[in-house]
Amino acid sequence: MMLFLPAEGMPGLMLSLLLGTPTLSLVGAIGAALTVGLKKGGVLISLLVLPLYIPVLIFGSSAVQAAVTGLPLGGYLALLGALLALALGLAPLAISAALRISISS
Amino acid sequence: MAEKKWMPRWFYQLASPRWCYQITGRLLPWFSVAALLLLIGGTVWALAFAPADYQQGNSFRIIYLHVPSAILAQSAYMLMAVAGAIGLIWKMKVADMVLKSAAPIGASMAVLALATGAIWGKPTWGSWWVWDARLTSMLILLFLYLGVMALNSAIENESTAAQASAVLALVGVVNIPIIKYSVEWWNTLHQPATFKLTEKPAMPVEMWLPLLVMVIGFYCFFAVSLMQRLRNEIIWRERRAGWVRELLNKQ
Repeated sequence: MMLFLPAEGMPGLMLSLLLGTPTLSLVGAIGAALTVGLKKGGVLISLLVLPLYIPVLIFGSSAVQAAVTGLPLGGYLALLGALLALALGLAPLAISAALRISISS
Repeated sequence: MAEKKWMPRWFYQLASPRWCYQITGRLLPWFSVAALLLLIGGTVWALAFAPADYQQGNSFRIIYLHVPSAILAQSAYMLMAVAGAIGLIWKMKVADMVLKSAAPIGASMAVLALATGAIWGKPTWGSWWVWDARLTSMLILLFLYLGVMALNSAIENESTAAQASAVLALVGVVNIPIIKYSVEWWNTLHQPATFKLTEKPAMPVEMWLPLLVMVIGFYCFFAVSLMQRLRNEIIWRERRAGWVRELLNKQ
C-alpha cells in the first residue's frame, strides 16, 4: 500500500482528505487574494498561509493515526468538519475584502 | 440629519495623529517609571525571595519570564487585531500605525516565550522541543506575527499595506482560542494555565504574587515600547504636516 499505510487506515485518510482539502483551498485563497497585487508574492504567500494550515494538518493526521490504531475517529472528523464550516462561512468575506484591498492600489 | 455620536469623545480624538502624539508623550514617563519599578522589583522578588519549588528546585524561576512573555504575546496579538479592525472599519490612520508598531513587539514576546519555554523544558521534560499543542500553536502565533510584518513591508502603498495586514491579523485571531484552550482540549505535556480569572491559583501566594508583579510590569513595558514605536511612526508619516515641522524646528 501507499507509504506502508495499513489498509484499515484508508477510509480515515479518504474522509480526512475530503473534509480537509476544501478548508486548505479556502485558506490558500485568502493568502492568494492578499498577495495578488504583488510581483514577488510567491515566498510571502507560503509564510502567510502555512501557519493557518497547521491545525487542519494536525487534525487530519490525528484522524489517520486513530484509524490505523483502530480508535474511533469521529471526533477528529467532526473537528475537521467544524473547521470546514467555519472556513466556508468566513473565508469568502476575507477573500472579497482582501481582493478589494489588493485591487484598490 | 445629525450624525449619531455613540462613541466617547476620546475615541474620535485618537484618530488625530497629532493628538495621539501629544497624549502618548504625556503618558510615556508614567508608564516608563512603572515598568522600571515593577520589572526590577518583580525580578528581585522572584529570583531572591520567592520560595523554591519542592520538585523543580530553583529551575522553576524561569516561570517569571516565561508566563508574562507568553501572556503578552497573545495580548499584543489581540491588540493588533482590534487595531486592524478599527483601521478597516473607521479608516483610522492611527489604528494602522498601532498595528504596524505592535507586530514586532509581539513577535519578540513570542520568541521570548518560546525560548524560555525551551530552556525550561530541557530540565523538566528532558527535551528542548516537543510537538505539543500549546507549543505548536505558540509557534503558529510567531509565524502569524512574521507574516503580518512581511506583508506590511511587501506592499508599498501605506494604506493598502495596513488594510491587507489587518485582514491577515483578523484571520489569524482563530489561533488565539486554540492557544488558550490547547492545554484543556488536548491532554499534553504543557501544564494548564497558571492564572485564571475565576479561580485561585494553584501556587502559594509567595510564588504567584511576584509573578503578578512581573505580568503587570511586562504590560507596562509593552505600553512603553508600543508608544515609542507609535510616536516614531507618527512623526515619520506626518513628516510633511505643519505641526511636525514646528516640533522639529523647536528642537
